[in-house]
Amino acid sequence: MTLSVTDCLLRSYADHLAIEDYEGGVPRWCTGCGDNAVLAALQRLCRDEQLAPERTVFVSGIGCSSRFPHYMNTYGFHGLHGRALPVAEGIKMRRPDLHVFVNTGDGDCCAIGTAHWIHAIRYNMDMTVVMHDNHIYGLTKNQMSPTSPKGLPSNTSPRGAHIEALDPLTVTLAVTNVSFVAQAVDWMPGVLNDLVSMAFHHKGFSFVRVRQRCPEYLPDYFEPWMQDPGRVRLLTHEDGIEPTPELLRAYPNHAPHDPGDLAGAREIAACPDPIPVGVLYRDDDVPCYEDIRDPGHRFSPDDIERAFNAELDRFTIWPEAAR
Amino acid sequence: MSDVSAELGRFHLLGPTSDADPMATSGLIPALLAPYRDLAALRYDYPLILTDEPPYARCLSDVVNDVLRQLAPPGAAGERLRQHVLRLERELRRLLARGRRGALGELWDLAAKVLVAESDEAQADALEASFDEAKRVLEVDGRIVDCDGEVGSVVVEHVWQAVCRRSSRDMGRRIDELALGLSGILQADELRSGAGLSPEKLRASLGGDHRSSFDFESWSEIAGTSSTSPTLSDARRRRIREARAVLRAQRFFPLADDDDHAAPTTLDRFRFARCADAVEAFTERRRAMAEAIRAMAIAELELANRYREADHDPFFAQFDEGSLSPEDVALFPSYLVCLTDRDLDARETARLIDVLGSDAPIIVVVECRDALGGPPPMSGATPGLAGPQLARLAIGLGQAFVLQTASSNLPRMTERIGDGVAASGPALFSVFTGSTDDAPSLPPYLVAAAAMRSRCFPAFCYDPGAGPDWADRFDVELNPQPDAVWPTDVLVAADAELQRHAETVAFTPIDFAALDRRYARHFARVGDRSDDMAPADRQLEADGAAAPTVPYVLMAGDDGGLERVVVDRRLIRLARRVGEVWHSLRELGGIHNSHARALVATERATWEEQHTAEAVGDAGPVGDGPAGDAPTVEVSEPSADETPDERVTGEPFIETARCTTCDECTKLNAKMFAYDDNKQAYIADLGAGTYREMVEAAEACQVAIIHPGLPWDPAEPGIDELVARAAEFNAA
Repeated sequence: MTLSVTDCLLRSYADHLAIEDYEGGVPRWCTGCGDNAVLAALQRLCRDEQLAPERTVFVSGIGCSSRFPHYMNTYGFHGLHGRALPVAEGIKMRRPDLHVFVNTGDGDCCAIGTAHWIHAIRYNMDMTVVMHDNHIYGLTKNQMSPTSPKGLPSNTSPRGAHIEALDPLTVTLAVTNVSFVAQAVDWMPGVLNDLVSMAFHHKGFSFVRVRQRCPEYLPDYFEPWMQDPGRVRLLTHEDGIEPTPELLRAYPNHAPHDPGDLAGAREIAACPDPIPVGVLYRDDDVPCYEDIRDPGHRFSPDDIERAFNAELDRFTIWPEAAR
Repeated sequence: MSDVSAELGRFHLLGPTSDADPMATSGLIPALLAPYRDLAALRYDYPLILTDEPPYARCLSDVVNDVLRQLAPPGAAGERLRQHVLRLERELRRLLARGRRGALGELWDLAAKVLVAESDEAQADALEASFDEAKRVLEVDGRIVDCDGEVGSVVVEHVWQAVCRRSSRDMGRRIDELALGLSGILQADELRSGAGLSPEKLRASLGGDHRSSFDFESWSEIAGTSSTSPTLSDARRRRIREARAVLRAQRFFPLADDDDHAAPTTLDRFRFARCADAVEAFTERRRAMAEAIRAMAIAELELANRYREADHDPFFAQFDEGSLSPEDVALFPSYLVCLTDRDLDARETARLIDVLGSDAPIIVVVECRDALGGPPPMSGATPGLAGPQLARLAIGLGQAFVLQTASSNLPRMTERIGDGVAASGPALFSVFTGSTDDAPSLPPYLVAAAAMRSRCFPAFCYDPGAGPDWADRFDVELNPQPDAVWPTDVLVAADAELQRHAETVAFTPIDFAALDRRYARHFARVGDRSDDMAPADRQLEADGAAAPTVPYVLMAGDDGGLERVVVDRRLIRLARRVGEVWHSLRELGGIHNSHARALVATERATWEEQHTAEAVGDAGPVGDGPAGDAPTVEVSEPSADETPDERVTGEPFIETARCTTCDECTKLNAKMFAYDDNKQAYIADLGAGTYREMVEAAEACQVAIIHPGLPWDPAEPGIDELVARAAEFNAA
């Protein structure tokens, strides 16, 4: 809630932030890396929404994409491998007024961070999670990841991956309280922008998987999809992507999909080729954990100290009482 | 014409000719009301259980039905429990009729105790078990109220309290958060200051066992010199402290640590018995309201890190009560004034009109006890502008939320009352209670329902915040059968041969007047039926004095027997006047609107004229012109130069909208290629690079959106090979 007078003053003397105001350090990613497209999309989102940098936090784990917070001129937390989500949840719990984003890779999210990922979906806290999925560990130099397709050779699987890949979409859609799931590809920047914007505006845990290129270790992996627009299936709906005529001409394989249809979303996710792009599922009515646990008021430092002392006192032996 | 008919005709035309009329309607009530004479035996809209959340009130019958749906399965299995609980509901109604008041749970226990005490020992245990089981699944509790003379103000006050408590609680939390946030800024500043980094403070921040291991003097010295964070300016620190002090001192909203500020007692300061007192209190408190809003705005700007002293200091320096907007005022509790129509003397009426014409957040509830006014010659003109006239006048003022209803209809109005209470600006709730000394023999609920049904006290709602026009703002659909002039019902009775006889009967203001002993002399009982009579509603439809027969209404005696009662002409005139008011309300509500009807008629006439003309035109050529003389459109062939894409094929270009910001081209030549405002690549300066670089950029581009075109310097080395390499990307 903001008073009308505050709102008027903010609008009267508003600072317009340009995209450069959200740029942090110079990215060290390889040229051609899909992470650049995600960075540009999120910087555009911040600019378009005029998010106050001091009220915005990007949290990440470990991996190429997890260098993301360094490149944003906002608050950031470059954390431990697989632990981006619990950190983000802690931030949201304590400071629900902040805009919380999480950047996590396919290894960070779907391998070491799987337990946190599953329960973060279930907790449905209001944050935007972008999963950068390039199907390979790039930072550790070409190692197999949980989303590497069967047969993909890598330094850790020189004869090719032995088992089928884990599908982040089908897993997410199967978890209790799932509330927003979308998929983008980095070579469709307009759609990527729209999807991260929709994810940002969704109240709850918004999960956007971005299929993206690794020009260093899998330079040709996505070529068949990039060269053949028919192998991208654009999901259209008034509650999802509303495509322009130009986009429909460029991507002739498009089909309406109601994001409220969970069973339909699961069917779509189960068919990874052609790559579905758009909002697979959204449910705006799933409650957020921070709202469920909202005590109704903020605690002052004195309140916290009192509660802390009271808790510790339970384990204290008081000499007076002992006598 | 028989003597009886002639006498009735004279009564109709001349009215009562003596003070003591032998044919008065004592003991009779309108036939349509007869089945409801004993309300205690019926399940109907009352009593109500008042709740804190919307819809703010539940009917006892609905609550009991919910209980039975949960506990008593259909059929014989649940029949015993169903009967027990329904008995308890009847006992509850009886207790209320005898004047007992309290919360539902409390009265439930009392009614259960009475029934158990009355029953024999064998049945007592079963009854007690049923009542306990049912009480366990009761989902609501709250004060229980019956339809009496005060129910209007009780319900409106309850809704007002619920709405104000909720909004005050939210505002209190918000103010707590703001004050806490301001404290956080000051605390952070203190921690960074020299005092915060003093050896004493640092010593106090460390646990006892390890305290001796540290040199706090050195720590303080190092921390003091290495701290680069600027501390707050004196002006900012003072501003934050002042704003926090105002927020903590305000008395409008309860704060978390404010034990003396319990919400129920706080609202007592906002309830008044006269409009003048409410206006005075509101005026007096505006300064404190402005101070609170000013402190909140400063706090919000400070916490958003957006306070600009150069711009905002002058603004806040002159912020006073005149700066409050209606949105600001709406954040504070509104002021409630409870009146009866007897309070509305000329002075209070003038004050009330002032209030309703202002933007003050003053909620006025007026309980009306007279919907009809005195008998002729003053009928329909209640003294002091009360009754149904008050709300109609308030609509004309345009600013106030206005709701008029009979108390019988209140159970369906509680959410609308909530809307009116929550709306910014004044509100008027005019409620006809049905509790009047002039109809003592009937329960108030029945009198109130009759007033609304007869159109003497129609229900309507005017909400100026609901939209820009009358269709959004005004609603008369709350009345029974709003499309009809007079609502009708089928009356089933036994005729002289004891055969079932069904008749459609209208309920008019004459039926309502028949409940009022002040009008008793204007009715005459008919011993035998006469063929020269017609129902009064038919007389009302007829054109004034041209009515051919003597009008009557059907009434029922204590034994349920029906008889016709003749009505005098003055009552017919009164009913016509009520009908005209009802007609004008319906027009405002868009029902049978005369402007709309006229417009439709005009449009229909225009359409029929056009339709006729087209029919004549289709029949054949009328003019002198030759057939096939229609104007032709010249279509020119597109010239070879005008291709859809006018791009010069030799010019290099980038499909910027498809750029994925992969840095390939910008790293190759950051002067030739640059990013636009959306961080997507475009050719910034063709002269800053070579054709070779352009072709290499096209080859490196991950999404193949760079089209090199033709070389701009034919002398560039290796140009033929570059053109061949570029061909692939130009074709794309």
